[in-house]
Amino acid sequence: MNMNDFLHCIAHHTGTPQLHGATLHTLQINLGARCNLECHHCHIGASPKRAEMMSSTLIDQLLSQLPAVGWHTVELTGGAPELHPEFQNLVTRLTSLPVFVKVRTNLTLHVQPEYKELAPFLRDRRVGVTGSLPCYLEENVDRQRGTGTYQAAIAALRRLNGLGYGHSTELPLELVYNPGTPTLPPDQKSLEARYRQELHERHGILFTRLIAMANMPIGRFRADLRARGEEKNYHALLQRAFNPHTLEQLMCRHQLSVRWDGRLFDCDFNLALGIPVNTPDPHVQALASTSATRSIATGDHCLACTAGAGSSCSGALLA
Amino acid sequence: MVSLADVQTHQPQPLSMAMEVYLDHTLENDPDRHLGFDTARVRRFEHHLKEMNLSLRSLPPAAVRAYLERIRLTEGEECALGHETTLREFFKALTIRNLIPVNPLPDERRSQSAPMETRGFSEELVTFVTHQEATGCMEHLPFDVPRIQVWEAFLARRNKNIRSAEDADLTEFMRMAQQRFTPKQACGLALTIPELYLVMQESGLMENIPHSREVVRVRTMLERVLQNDSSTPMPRHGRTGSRHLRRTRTGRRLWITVMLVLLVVGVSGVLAWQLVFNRSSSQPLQSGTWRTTVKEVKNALQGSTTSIATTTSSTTTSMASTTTSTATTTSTSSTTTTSMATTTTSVPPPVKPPVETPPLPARMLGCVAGNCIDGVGTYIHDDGARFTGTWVKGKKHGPGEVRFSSGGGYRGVWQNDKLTKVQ
Repeated sequence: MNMNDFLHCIAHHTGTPQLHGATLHTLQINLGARCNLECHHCHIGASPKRAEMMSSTLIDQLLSQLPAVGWHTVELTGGAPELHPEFQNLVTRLTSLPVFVKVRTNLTLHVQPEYKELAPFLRDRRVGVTGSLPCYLEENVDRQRGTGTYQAAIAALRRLNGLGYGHSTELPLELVYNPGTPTLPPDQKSLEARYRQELHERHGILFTRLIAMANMPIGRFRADLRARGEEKNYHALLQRAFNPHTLEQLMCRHQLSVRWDGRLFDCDFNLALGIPVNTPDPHVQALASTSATRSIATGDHCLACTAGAGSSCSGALLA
Repeated sequence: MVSLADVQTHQPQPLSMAMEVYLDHTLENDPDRHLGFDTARVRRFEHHLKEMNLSLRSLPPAAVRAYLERIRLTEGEECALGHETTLREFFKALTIRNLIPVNPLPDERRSQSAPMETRGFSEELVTFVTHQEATGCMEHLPFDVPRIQVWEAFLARRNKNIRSAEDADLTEFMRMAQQRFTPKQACGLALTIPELYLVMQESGLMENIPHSREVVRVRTMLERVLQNDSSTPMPRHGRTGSRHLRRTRTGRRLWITVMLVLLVVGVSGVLAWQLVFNRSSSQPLQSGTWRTTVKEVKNALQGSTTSIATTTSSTTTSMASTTTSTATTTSTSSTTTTSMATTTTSVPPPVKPPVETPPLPARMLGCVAGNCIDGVGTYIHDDGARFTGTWVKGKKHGPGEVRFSSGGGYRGVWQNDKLTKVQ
């Protein structure tokens, strides 16, 4: 077996260089790589120039496979999932199923006139919103995501608050933080308290939860690390900070990701790298038969999920 | 770009009473319905009434017809049909709740292909109804039948039926019910569906019936809700009580078992209480002490079973003396100071709990303290978020505090479920 650094770390602590899935409760659907932004840290490499989109046929196929597994949560992501022409139709169909539907958004689309009705549409269907806001300071956000994105995101958050989002978990509004530098995210709990205070005092914004994610050394972030000659240092940092207690909650052990072309992945990061699930048929047609306890495909990048308090699409893995 | 003023002034429209009644009605009768379209259509109709200065209570049928005709002409047949279907259900809901005296759009030409109309009664449903009739439990059938049909519809969507349902289906169903229905509706389902399967089992139609801890969770929620809403009679209380239980063979067995278990636990509890009290009589009873007591009772029961079965020799530990006392009292012997060996010979075999009671959820959900309808109460959501504060008509309204599962939260003043002022 080709042992990567991540498996070495696992073997050192558990005695077995293998990682297996546990239970499946979340399905991430990546609708496409098209986005209205082109962020420095984006692991998908999404941009307005990308044209990949999930086809309507594939969406139908996917929806027909969903009930067989009994998912608890379905997350729509991208790119900007809202840019998919079938987005509203898909949300309507998903919300008719017994699953909790969540949309990952860059927030800025919600203030554009042609997407003005999107937020009330999501509110009416009780869809959870997870928005990117890598800092509560304008200069940091604009540096990472582009000039003007902070103000647009703030306007979108105020709008979502006005619609009832963020006041309680009935309409959850989660924010995503990721460091702007090649460092590990700070303690999620204390950072959340700081976000609450700053965003409320500056803009009167409320939210339900902060998700602190470590930057994954893939995609544009990796290219940026290489350009600055910091790739090895960051890798060493992740390796030093390996925390075996995070293994139990690793998101790849509890979720699957579907790419716009129908291929199945253990997580969104493997999806970005094109490493499919270890099954004979890693395609959406085999979604129902994909084993929860499958062997997870891993790589050096997985160290970002096990560093410190751990990291996942749902935030830190350990309190 | 949207200006800040636009953002600030954009407020969600409050639901009218008629709309709330309609939503309740639809969720109860047709939970799969896409309410997004329906609410938009009803809102549009309400807006039309406001424009025309018409009242729902005195709405002439001609006005409704004219409204639909105008949609038919301007937006096409399909669109008008959608509006008509929605309005039919809307008026039906209002008529049932006596909000309007006469239905202006009676159900005269209801499509015969509508799923609710064509759906026949399944064999399982007929069996259930027949059983209830035979055992004299007819009074709850008006609630049970639609609940079972909701369950059937849910299973049909998963290409299953009542007999092929599995534990996972029941769990998912209960989760869905908690998300989409009111607590009372969800709890109604949690009472009816397991009862359906007990009847199925008793009638010999099924051997293995699905179980789910979610059922217990939802029932717990019901108890909490009803504790805080004493004005509403408990809909199924008599059903789950002794009268109903003792009518059936399974019920009788269950009843006897529960009584015996309660007797043993009660006696052991008293003795364990004495044990704790004697040991720490100088200390006041604190919250942690109760857990210790329960644990000791459990240990005592286990110890009793083991020691009696193996007829071990007498020991001098406090646990052994508890065991002796428990066994002695159970056998109603007047001797309380006999040795272990003497006791074990005179006691009948201990009662093992034949039905493993599912453990209560570690975290209570729903309204856990006070009044979460009109008053001050604490409500815990299934994701762990907790709100403590003032409730008016089931909405957060007044001072309160929300604490999310992450530990963060807000304290402030709420109006109609929205936090308007953070302190």
